[in-house]
Order: sequence, then structure tokens, then C-alpha cells
Amino acid sequence: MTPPLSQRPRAGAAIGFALVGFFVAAALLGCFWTPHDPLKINILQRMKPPGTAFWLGTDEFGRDVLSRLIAGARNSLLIAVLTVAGAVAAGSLLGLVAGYARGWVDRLLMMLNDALLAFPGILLALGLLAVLGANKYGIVLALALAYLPSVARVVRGSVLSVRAREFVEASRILGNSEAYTAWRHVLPNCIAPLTVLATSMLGWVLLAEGALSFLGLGVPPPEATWGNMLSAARPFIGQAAWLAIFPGLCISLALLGVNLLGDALRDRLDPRMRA
Amino acid sequence: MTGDANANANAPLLSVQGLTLASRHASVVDALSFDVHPGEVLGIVGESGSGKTMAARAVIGLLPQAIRRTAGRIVFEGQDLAALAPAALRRVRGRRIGMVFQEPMTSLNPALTIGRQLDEGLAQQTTLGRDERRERIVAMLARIGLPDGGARLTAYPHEFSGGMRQRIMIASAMLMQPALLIADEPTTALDAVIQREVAQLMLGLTREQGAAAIVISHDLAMVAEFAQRVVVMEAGRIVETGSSEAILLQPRHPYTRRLLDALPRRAPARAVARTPVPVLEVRDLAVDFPGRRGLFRRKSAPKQAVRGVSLQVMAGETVALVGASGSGKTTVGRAIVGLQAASRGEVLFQGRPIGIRDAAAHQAWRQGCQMVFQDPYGSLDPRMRVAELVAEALRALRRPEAAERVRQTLAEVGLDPAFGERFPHELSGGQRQRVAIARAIVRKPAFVVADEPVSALDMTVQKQILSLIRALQDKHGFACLFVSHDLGAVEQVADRVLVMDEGQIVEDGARDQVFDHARHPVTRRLLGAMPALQPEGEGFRLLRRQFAPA
Repeated sequence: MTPPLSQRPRAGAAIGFALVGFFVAAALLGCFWTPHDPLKINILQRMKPPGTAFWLGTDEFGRDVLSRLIAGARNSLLIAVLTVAGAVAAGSLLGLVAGYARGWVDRLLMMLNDALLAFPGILLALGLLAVLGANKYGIVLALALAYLPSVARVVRGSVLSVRAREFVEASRILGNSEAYTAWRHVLPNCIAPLTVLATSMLGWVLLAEGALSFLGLGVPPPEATWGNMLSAARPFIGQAAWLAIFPGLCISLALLGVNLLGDALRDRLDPRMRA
Repeated sequence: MTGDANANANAPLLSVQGLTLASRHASVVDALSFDVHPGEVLGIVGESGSGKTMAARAVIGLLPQAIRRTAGRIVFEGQDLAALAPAALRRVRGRRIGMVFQEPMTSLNPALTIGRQLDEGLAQQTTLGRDERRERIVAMLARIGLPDGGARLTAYPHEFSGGMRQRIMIASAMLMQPALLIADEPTTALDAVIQREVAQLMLGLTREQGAAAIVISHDLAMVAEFAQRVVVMEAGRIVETGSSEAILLQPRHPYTRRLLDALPRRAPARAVARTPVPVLEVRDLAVDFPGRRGLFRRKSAPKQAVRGVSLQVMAGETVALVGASGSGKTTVGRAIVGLQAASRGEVLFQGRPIGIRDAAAHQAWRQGCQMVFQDPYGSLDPRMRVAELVAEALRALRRPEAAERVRQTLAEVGLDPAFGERFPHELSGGQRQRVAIARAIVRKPAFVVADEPVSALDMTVQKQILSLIRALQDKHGFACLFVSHDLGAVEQVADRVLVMDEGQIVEDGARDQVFDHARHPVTRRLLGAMPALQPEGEGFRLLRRQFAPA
């Protein structure tokens, strides 16, 4: 019986690394070259199935799907990575302060956080985008804010359990400042749940960006992202399944890669897991 | 099922023959053979990693996945357990062989009432009706010291103390009236007084039911006192077998001698110079824990953990603060290092109050007052290397100087400088405690609080750590408040002993005076819980105590 992927860290990490590397390379390539112009409309070639001229077919405007996927990789990955980085950074700080300080600071911060959490993330993003205007950075800001509360919750939870451990008390007895103790001893020991959350969040962001496009608040057309390609494919799913399949496949594979890489990274960062 | 045993009255109940267990990388237990006869109490003694727990787990078929049996037979009541199908083995396990684990906190399911948990085995493995089962359970609870057992059946595990939980575990094993009870470190997690009561209860019950028992422990004194025969294990092999008297009085194998040597013996008393100003003074300290306020409840009364404690510690002196769990001794130690706010009273370090009003005194106290924790697994940040952990205390120094001091200090606590590159999980318990001690003394403090510093360690390691603390003290002259429930350890290191009970100091005196002429009943009870061994010649003479029915 072969153990599942998760128990074979080497193989998992290699696959994750390969997938992520592949998509990052595609995104970089997209800055210079695509097989066709991703924005060029050609009504005569609309909804062509995958073939020799257009490897992955064309969409309802006759644009080359492969080219749009390559161009979209850059937008999608950039948005996803920036959003998650923003949410993790701000959410961790909030969770760390709340969990470490406890008392009224915790109550106040968590009250605000819960108010945000109670609000559907996508609705919050919608509202913000209506104010900020629909562009890449508006989306990053809006989605980061929408995902921040769950990061804060998770981090606060681990901080509460870690701060009760004796090595935190040991640090205080040495006379280390509270900020130093929180930063040096508490936060690093909260990384495991955070990497799990951050990697799954990348997936949510890729999809949420598509949902926003669907509502007309995503990256404005004609620019391509995987999310807006997937949303745009919805009406044609019966006639031209490839329009949905290929962006969907990109999102799934990118997610798989990020998750595997995230697991490997978590193990790598934990001295106890190093052989 | 018992036909074979009846046919031959001398046949052992359990016979382990040539049992060999191995993980993928190493051998865990090597050709282990021993017999347990009906009604006999067999002790298995060994330190962490000796394979004693794995041997016991192999008997009941609860080996972890990574460990496999590669050879040997386990014959119980005439059938080879190792050859039994899982379903048949389950009928033996629980019904004929009961097991009690070390951690009473985790071996009961916190989500089920104790009534449900006690009933589980009976309902599964017997044909008794509901009322009969209940009757048996209530009778058993009364036997273990819960007279109102019927009313407590709906209580959850967290409502009981650690000692009571372990009694409930024992009750759940003995309810099945097994022929053999296996107890793996059944009392290690408990404090000294409770340890003895629980051990007495457990073996009293097995004797009443005529069951045999295997008691596994690192504590030779405890095992020898209760077992008729003792098996000593080291690194997966049996090094010595014999009656407990023989093992204690005339140990043959060097390893057994080392174990015996680690048993507490009184070190000669030291002279402590009485300086005019004590290094540390506590005046009328009180600590209240605020009551909890529930949503629909009134605020409960605050708990007075420490009620007016005063004490003095002179330079170079070791003062032991002893008491049962819940006596407030740990809280006093925590208040001294500032981990616990005092509700009343004050702490003076080198004659000056430690409050923040006097910044210089506060600074001196922070620099010169350190702590060693009980649990060397929890007190070291798992993500830092040993050298970083120790160097953290020296952030004021420049790097090369700090690195040099770290090397020196690691050497002083008996660790090679190469250990500096390791992470805590790569060290043994004793090595981790050495690191914790290094961190505490690297600043050359004047005062160290040691909170149960050896109670999580093996006996021989305890001995090493205790002598290390004493040697470091002789060298650096720091004073020490040694907080412990273990009078054996206290007898080895303390100059003076303070006994606490219910938040107050009830006895205070020089060590020999307290140990030899205890006045207060609490002190006497603590002393009574010490192993009944008397040093004699090379070994110890066992004073057999009577089993008082609990």
C-alpha cells in the first residue's frame, strides 16, 4: 500500500513546486509573448473548438483562449498573491495584538473583527469596489479586507494557546519586552495553521475575483483573468465547454500546486519536521 | 478458556517468550521473556526508552503502527495472543486483561459522563442487565472512595481531580474483573501523597479480586514496594530479575545499582552563612484568583491561593517549598519572578522592593532573579536552537561575547558546545532541563526559582540534575527556592524546608529537623508518602507497609 501524497513530502513538494513554477513561468511569458493577441476580436473565428490553429479554441469574440490564459495568469496570480499577502500581514498583526494583549484590547478588536466577519466577504468587496472603482488594486484591497477577519481569528486562536506555554513565560522572566516576546516567540509558533489558511485562501481569491467580474466589478474587460474567463464562459457552457474547462483547470492546478507547496513550506519551516 | 490453567496449577497466567519488537530503524524490545503467575504483582522498571511500555502494549495488542512484533509468543491463559484474530483479541483485552495508562487527564473521554464510560465495557462485554450493571458500578465507586457514586454518575471527567480520575480509570478496568491488570506509570502524573493512595487502592483491588498485575514504572522504589517480583529493563533487554527485596538489597547488575544509587539519599548538611540582608524576602504575600463571572451566574468567590506567606532566602542557600498540589507553593514561586501579581504583601530582592517605582531595584531583580520550569518540553521555544535559547538572556552583550558565555555555560551544565546547534526536540528530557538551567544561570543570577525541576525526568536523570544544581550553586553561589512535592528530591538538595498547606506555611525548619522531627500533620503526611526504604549497605531495606483498605 503506498502512502497518500500528503505522507510523501518529497513527492508532494516536487509536484507543487513544478505546478507553481509552471504557472509563474507562464505569467512571466505573458508579459512578452502570447501565441495570438489575447485582446484581438475576430468574429469569423468565434467559438472554435480546440484545434491546430487555436490550441485551446476561441471564445465568443473569437479571441484565442490559450493566449488569454497566459495573459490572465499574470493578472490572476498577481491579484491572488497580493490579496493573500495583505490579508495575512494585516490579519496576523491584528490577531497577534488581540490574542497577546487579551482584556479589553482583545474584546474591542474582536468585536470589530466579528462585525467584518459577519458581513459576507463578497458583499463587502462589492461595496468597497463601488467606492474604489473597479481596477486591479481596488480588487486587491477589497478582497484583502474581506479575508482579513478570518486570518485574525485563526491567528488569535493560536496566539492564545501559544502564549500560555511556558517558554513565553520564560521569555518574560528574562526581561524581554512584550512586543519582543510576541514577535520572537509567539508568532513563529502560530505559522502552521496560518500556512494552511493562506494557501486555501489563494483559491478563494482566484474564484472571488471571477465572481466580482461576473457582477461587473472585476478586472474590467477586455483584460483577461482566469476568473473573468470562467465567469464569461457560463452562458456558453453547453455549446463551448472548453471555454469553462481550461480556465477552471488552470485555477484547480494552480491551487493544487500552491497547496502542496504550502504543506512543504510548513514542514520546512518547522524544525521538528526536518529529518 | 481457563481449562489449561486449571489443568496445571503452576502454569503462569501470562508467559511472554522471546518477544522482539522493532521499528523500521531500530530494535525496541529484544528477546524479552517473563512470566506472571495468577495473583502475582510483577514490576517492570526501566527508564524512558527502555521498551517497558512497548512490551506492555504488545501484550494487549495496542502497538503503535510504526512498531512491529518480529518474534516471540505471548501466551495468556493458554492461548497465544499474538496469533489471535483482532476480534478474539478484543474479547481478551478489557475483559480478561485490563489496562491503566499514565495520564488521567487524557485517558478519560471529556465529552462523556463517567457513568457512560464505566458502563461501556460492561455493556459491551457482559450479558448483565442495566440495573445489575449500575449496581456494580455504584459499588465499585464506593470502593474507590466515591460513596455518593450513584449521584456522581452523571458528572464529567473535568469535575474530578487528577487523583480521582485515575481512581475512576482503575475502577473502569477492575469492573470487568480481569485476570490481569497492566498499569503503565499509573501514578507518575500525580503528587506524592496521592501517588501512594492510588497505588494502594489499585493493588488492594487486584488482591481482593485475585487478579495479577504488571506495574510499569521508572520509579524503582514505588515498584519494589508493591511488587513481589521485579524485572529491570535497559535498552529493550532484561538486565536483572528477582524478588523486590533481593533487587533492593543485593543488586547484581551495574544498571540496577545505578537505579538504586539514584534513589533519594540525604546529602550532608551544608553551612549557610547568615548575611544581614537576605537575597530574597517575601513579606506577608497573598494572591487571590478572581472568581469567574458567568453570563447567568453571580460572580463566584475569589480563590485565596496564597494567604500571608513570609519567607527569607540567604545567599547560596536552597530553601525548599513543599506541599501537595493546590497548596499554593507554585503560586508563591511565580509571584517572586513576577509571573503572578500579588494581591497583598511585597517581595524584596537584595533588600529592595521589586515594584516598578524603584527602577534600579526593578532592573536588578529582572537581571538577578531567574526561573527553571517543571516541564523541559514546554519551557523551550521549539523553533529556536539551543545556543539562541541561552543567548536570549544575554541580549545586552555583543555577539562574540555572548557566544563565548553561552559556550562556557553549556559546558558548565555538562553539554558539549555542539549542542548549541540543535533544536529542543532533538534533545532528551534531561538535556533539555540542562538547557533550561543554562538559560537561567547564564546571567549569573543571585536567585533562582526552580519549580519542580526534576519531576518530569527519569530517576537517574533526576539525580544528575539535582547534583548539577548543587554543584552550580557551590560554584556561583546563587540562592534557590526549590518548589516541589517530591520530598525525596528535597532531601537531596535543601538546606531549609518550608511546608505549605492551603496557602500558608505550616512548618519551617532546617532540613534534618523537618525530616526527622516533623511536627505538623501535613508534614507527617507528606513524609509518610515517601518510599518506605531504608538505606542499608550497598542497597536499601524495604519496610513493607500494610495495605490499608482505602
